[in-house]
Amino acid sequence: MTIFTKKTWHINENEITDEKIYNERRSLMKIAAIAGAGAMMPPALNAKENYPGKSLNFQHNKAFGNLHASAYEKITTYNNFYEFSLSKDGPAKLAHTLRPEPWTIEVTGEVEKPMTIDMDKIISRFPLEERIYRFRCVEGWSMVVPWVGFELAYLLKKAGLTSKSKFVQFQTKFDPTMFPEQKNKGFFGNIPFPYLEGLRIDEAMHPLTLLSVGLYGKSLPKQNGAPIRLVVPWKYGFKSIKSITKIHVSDTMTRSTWNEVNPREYGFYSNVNPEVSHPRWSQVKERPLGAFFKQKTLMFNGYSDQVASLYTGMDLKKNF
Amino acid sequence: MKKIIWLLAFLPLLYIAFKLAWGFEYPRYVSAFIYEHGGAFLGSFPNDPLKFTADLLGITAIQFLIASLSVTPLRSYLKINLVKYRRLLGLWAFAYALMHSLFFFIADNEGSLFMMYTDMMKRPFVLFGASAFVILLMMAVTSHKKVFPRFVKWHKLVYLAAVLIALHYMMSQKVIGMNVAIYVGILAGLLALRLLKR
Repeated sequence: MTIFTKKTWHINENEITDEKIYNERRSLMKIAAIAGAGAMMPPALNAKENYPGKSLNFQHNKAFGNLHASAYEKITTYNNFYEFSLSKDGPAKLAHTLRPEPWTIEVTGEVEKPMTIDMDKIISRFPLEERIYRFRCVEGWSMVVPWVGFELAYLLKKAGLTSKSKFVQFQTKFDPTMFPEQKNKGFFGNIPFPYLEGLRIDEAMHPLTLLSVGLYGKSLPKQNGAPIRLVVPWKYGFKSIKSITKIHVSDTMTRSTWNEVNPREYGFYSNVNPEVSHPRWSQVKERPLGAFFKQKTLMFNGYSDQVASLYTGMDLKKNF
Repeated sequence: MKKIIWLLAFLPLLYIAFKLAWGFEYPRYVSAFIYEHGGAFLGSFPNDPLKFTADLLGITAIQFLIASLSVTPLRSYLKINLVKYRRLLGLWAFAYALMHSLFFFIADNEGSLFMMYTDMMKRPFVLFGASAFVILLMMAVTSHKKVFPRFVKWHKLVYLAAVLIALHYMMSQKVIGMNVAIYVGILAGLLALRLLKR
């Protein structure tokens, strides 16, 4: 028997805004915004109606539509992508070496049908939707991103989970011709590559967890992790691994890069939690990109209602 | 020479002022003018203005500290005598350290002494930075000609401050990148020269 449980963010077919109308509305809103805040907006931005990248066919999920997204320029010029640079503005300048086509994703390990899927098939086969999520970096800054993607659960279900599917590991593509810093093995270098991240299976199957293939309606910019990345909105940003090429399901807790680099500072779970202070940064508040003033950080980054139950009975101070 | 130092000292402040000026609202023709004529080399409003400001103030303090510590080795090894500018360089290092600390105190800890205290206790790199600042403060206060001779031996503590600042800078990073390594390397080199001389 199949039990259909209706989630609070489920979209009915008739609620979905037609993409054309949606885009028209967006441009109307933009015109209004320009007219209103015209003083603040540099003239060149007014012309930037079309963001670079391939247009994607997606539906806007209204349940995640009420946040005000950060400007495209902010989202795409302030990135942590150590495969290119340790600086925040480096990836936007250096990521041109990434070749997102051709690209495949390998699903291996404790699944019924291990598989290798082509990016094109992923984009055409899975239902893409736009969700505007909060994004909170462990370093204390935050933004709001209109992601386009699909639930990771769809892909995992396709591969078929078994009783041994307990954890999922993700790996960024390793190819120093695309990611120059992967060559860097010096003392003052970088973190070890390939970059690895992991989730517990219930976190991976959670409907909030996305595999994102785009933002602002277009395919992912290279510096944001083209062509496909993870988005786990209730965890610190480094969990949302970029440019994924391997997904490995296993029955034991998987390795993850920051946790191995500095286990005292970065736990496996790394849920956004204002009550657990990081040895380097207090996590009580955050600096939204482009803002002078800080704002309060929310428990689970504002997604408590949806995800708190995953951690009932767990000491979040120990399992940080 | 004095004028050059003053000019160099004001450049980072001007740069910060220009960058942050983007964040305010102007009449449309003013913003259009800035965008047309200033955008090319000043860039846009910083993505993370608080971090941008704190970082730049801190780095500039380190640069002036390095400059003031270089005076002695420059004289002994390269016969370049800049001793009469050392005090000015040191005072600018202090001035930027002061701005950096005040900015951190106000913007990051919301001007709350309690928050500042907790931050220092929980995060050693903040404590190291604050300790170094106390040394620089002592040096700035006792740098006047009239009292300097009596305090000259205390001014050797600047090397302790340099070590604390190097630790402060390194520990504030997630990963020690090349730029951090260069600054710390220079500070270590200056300290080594000082120890060799004894």
